[in-house]
Amino acid sequence: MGNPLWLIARRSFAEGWVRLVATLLAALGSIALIAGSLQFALRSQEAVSGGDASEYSRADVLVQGGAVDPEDVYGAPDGRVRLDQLTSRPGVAAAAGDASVAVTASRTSGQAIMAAAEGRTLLRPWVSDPQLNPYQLDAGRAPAADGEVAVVRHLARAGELNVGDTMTLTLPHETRQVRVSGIVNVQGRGAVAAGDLVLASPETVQRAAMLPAGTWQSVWVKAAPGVPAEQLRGELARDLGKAVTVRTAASVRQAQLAAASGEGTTIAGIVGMLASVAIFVGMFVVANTFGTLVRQRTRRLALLGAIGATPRQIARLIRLEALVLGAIASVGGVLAGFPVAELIIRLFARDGFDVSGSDPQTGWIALTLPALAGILVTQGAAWQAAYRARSVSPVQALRSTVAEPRERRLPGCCSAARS
Amino acid sequence: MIATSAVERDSDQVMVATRVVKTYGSGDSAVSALRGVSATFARGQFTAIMGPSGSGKSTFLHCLAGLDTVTSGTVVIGDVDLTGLSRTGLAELRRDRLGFVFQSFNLLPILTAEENIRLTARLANRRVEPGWFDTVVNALGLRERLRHRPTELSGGQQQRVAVARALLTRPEVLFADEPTGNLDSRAGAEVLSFLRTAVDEHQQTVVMVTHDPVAAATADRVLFLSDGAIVDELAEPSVDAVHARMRKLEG
Ligand SMILES: Nc1ncnc2c1ncn2[C@@H]1O[C@H](COP(=O)(O)OP(=O)(O)OP(=O)(O)O)[C@@H](O)[C@H]1O
Ligand SMILES: [Mg+2]
Repeated sequence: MGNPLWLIARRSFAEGWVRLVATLLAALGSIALIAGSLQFALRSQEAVSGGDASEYSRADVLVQGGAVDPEDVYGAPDGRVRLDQLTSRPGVAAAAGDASVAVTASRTSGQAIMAAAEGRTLLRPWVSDPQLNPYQLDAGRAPAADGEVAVVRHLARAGELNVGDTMTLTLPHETRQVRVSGIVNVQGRGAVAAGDLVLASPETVQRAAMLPAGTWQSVWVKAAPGVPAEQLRGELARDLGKAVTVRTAASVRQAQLAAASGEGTTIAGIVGMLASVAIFVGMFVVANTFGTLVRQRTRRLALLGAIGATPRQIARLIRLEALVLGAIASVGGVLAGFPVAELIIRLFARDGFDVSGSDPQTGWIALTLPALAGILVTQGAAWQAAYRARSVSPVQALRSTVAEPRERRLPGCCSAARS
Repeated sequence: MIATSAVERDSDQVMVATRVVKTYGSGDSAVSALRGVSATFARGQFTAIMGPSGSGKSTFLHCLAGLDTVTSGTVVIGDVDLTGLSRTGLAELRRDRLGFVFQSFNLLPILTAEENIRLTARLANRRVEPGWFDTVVNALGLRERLRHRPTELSGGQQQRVAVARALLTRPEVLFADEPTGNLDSRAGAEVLSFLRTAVDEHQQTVVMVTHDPVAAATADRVLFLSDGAIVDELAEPSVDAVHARMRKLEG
């Protein structure tokens, strides 16, 4: 014979399913909110930091024109650097010019495409040297002609762009139509720390940035084999003088990462708040339902006690029902978490914090953590009810004055809130 | 007082109550439901407890069965003093050694007749010999009703299910509080005859509270309670003799 508690729990469930479905939905909603905010947290983390993805992943040293504000890690250098100064130097394996121009990308319909997270959309040159090129093509090919661009995956998704589509770029001094020739990822990510990238041929970018031929805002340098980045940095800094700032690519990436994690903390706070509200609401509803459930079943529980169920078994019965409820709510809640995350993302996107380009997270944390929270919340909420159930006196089953109350018409949360 | 003294103990005594006092509430509102009740119950004996309403019959039964705590005095079943047991200990004792039939609400409405019958054994995680289950079910005429829910059964059938549950674990004492109180005379007589059979054929000890002189007459002896004390006892009762004592009590 199986466990009688399981049998009773199952049948009670079948009997009071209307009330329990209402509670289930509440618990499910609470877990969905937890799952959704966690999903949002994970996705914004991905979008904001781009993890450690960086366009500087291949470069060893960055030579930036002029003085660079060390606080503004995404800022464009204000000076000029001549590329030929660097290409022919010993210790340098490859060099590529870089410039970034803030642009607005729009669909042909005129609708602007929001950059990932709080970033911007930057027009930058395609890097053709394989030693330095951090951009991997997902689809299409590199931009070749003027009027062709490759875009990062986030931008393609956010703007619903495919290879061959046309989009509008608003540059500081002109607006032009460009054709998407390719879609790229950067180290597997859909965007970089600075935001979204639109990659065009170097000449196009140079013109947009109004740079004299042969000069760039900065130059990415690949050190020759056997030359440490730090050593090359020292040599370049010494030789090129005060007109430029020379940094290792690693230090720039570090600074970007630190800035992103700061932003992550803010988001963690918001998400933590959402999740706490979810837990609180879930707890409240489930606790009320189980409180009512025990009150309604006083007589049954007392009968069980009279014929020999121990207080521990009676408490376990209640917790078992909570467990079943919690398990179902957890599975449903984790699934419902995905649309909830979409909703949160859309709400935040309206305020300019758009992480919609990130991928839905289906890792262990995203799936198990809300489920676990759901089980804990329902168990915690049923704890007091279970405690009350175990102290029901068996004599209460026998006093004819105690009638088994009818199912109340109001859902558990309302009726319990009244009492 | 005609109550049997608890001093004379032999192996045939299943249960001994000694100077049991039960007071509900305290101070001015205190109600003395039992004022020092002593009684012995022999193995295989069918005892009926009678008395006017409010005389303490149910309270006495609850105290004997470990359903309620006593204010003072002792109740010993077998070799266990109930008054020293924890709630869990009492529950286990009821589960393992006692059986119950109440006047109403005996069965869990969500379980079928068979599940209700097996419930006590299952709570104890104890196997029941299939032969015994069949014997009990057949004797009570429940074979065709095993898959029904209590709401699909008549009052008499429900009480028979409760008797089957109580008998299935072969309890040392079967307690019944007005088991026929809600039944018509025919269904009541059936239930009583099953209890009688259990006593005669399986040496079942039965303690039954009743208002009905006919029911009391099926017992081996009747204890009369009045105002929380045993005031009379009748061995080999007949319906007329019980009637006479009750008239005297209710005066
Ligand atoms: N929980 C309680 N709190 C206070 N007083 C109680 C309680 N239970 C019973 N009593 C009182 O104890 C006395 C005995 O009650 P009990 O139920 O044992 O009587 P009874 O003989 O079974 O009556 P009836 O024949 O009506 O069932 C009564 O005066 C009753 O009011
Ligand atoms: Mg009574």
